[in-house]
Amino acid sequence: MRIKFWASTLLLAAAFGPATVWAQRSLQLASGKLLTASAANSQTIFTLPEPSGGTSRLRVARDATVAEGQAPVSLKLVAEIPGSVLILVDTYPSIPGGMSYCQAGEESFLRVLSISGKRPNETYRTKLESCRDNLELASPGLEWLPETRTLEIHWLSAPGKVGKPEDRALKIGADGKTQ
Amino acid sequence: MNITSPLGSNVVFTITSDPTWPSIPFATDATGPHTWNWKITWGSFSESGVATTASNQWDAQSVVGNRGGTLTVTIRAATQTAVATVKIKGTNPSSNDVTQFLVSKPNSDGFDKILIHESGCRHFNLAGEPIKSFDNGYGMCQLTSPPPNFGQVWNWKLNIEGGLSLFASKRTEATNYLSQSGRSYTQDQLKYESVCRWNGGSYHEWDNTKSLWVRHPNILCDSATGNIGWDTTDAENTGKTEAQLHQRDSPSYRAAPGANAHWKYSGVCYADKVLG
Repeated sequence: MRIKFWASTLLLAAAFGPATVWAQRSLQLASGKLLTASAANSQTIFTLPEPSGGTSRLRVARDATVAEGQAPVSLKLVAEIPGSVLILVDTYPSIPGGMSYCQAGEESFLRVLSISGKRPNETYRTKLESCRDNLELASPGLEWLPETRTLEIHWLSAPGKVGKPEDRALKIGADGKTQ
Repeated sequence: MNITSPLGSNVVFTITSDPTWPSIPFATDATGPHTWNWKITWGSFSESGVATTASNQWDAQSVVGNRGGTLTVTIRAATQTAVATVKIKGTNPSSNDVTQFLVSKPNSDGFDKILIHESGCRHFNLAGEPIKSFDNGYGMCQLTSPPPNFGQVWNWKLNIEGGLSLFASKRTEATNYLSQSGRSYTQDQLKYESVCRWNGGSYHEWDNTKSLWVRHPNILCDSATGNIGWDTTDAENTGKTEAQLHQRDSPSYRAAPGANAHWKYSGVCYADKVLG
């Protein structure tokens, strides 16, 4: 069965004062527990629930198109292999350029997180959509095929392809490794 | 050795609105071969070189190229040395100059409107120096990334070409988007889609019933702003008028929308504002 990209976001905190701060974003996993995302400098920090009841933290990179300290404005769960793998998309406002360039733009990252080991780790990352880098998904852009644990990505403008399309299929192993 | 041209220090030479760089003649009362060590600087930009002549005259126009600011020339003849400093300043083009220039550039439809909206086609400040924004954006297009070179900072045509290369990427994206699955579109739709993407996001969505591209129907714009709008499917916005939403949200426009905001920056509203 082909499952189109679905999303679940839950807002936890608000913005404060003239200098807008997105405190954190959160989403609910199959276990019913919450995964949250916040920011520190140029990294995003995922706080993931552990089966034992505690939490683990995982720092992941963004890129120079995202402002320092900017937490995600959107956090979406593409697919979950319970207790094993999470496939997420985190999205941020673009750093605007002169003449209102990309002032309303966004930057999105697709991440595959392995959560079966002692500590969570990011096994795959790609820029998904970007105003600053001219990346755009087709419609639908992401499709998850649970029977084969395959994630299909369809770009209208793909990374490194300068306005050209690309279709990419990632087979996700139980350890989160991609083929 | 005395400098006989230009007479006085910090003489100003002005670039025309074309832009054409002026003749900048240097001369001394010495005889024989001369060496002209020149350096032109403006802010963090700098360029230098050496010219030699058989006589006591030299025109810096040939080496200044597309640059402006302060030109310092150290002149040597035999054992004698003298130093001259001049200023090179710019003149703004008219909106018509800019539009006419862009007419000659392929795939620029809509970029002239962005320039008029954003900078009023102004490249130089009242002192005749390139305008510079707080985030080191230079000239009419406020070029920041990739960092502009000295010529792009002072020559408004090169500056526009720098901005146009960014716009060309958006136009390519817009073309790919509108032509996907063999769909057709008008040149006007391409213009709106390109200008929208300059600010961020897509302008159109495909209407399966009518089999044509339509403006995103769920974006209501605040016509008092440049690119602020509301998603009318947001329960907090549904059924409210522009006036009601403006009254509710405009006090928070001074900063980017926070996590609880129900307004947003919208490329759709930007395109509506810029293109009318």
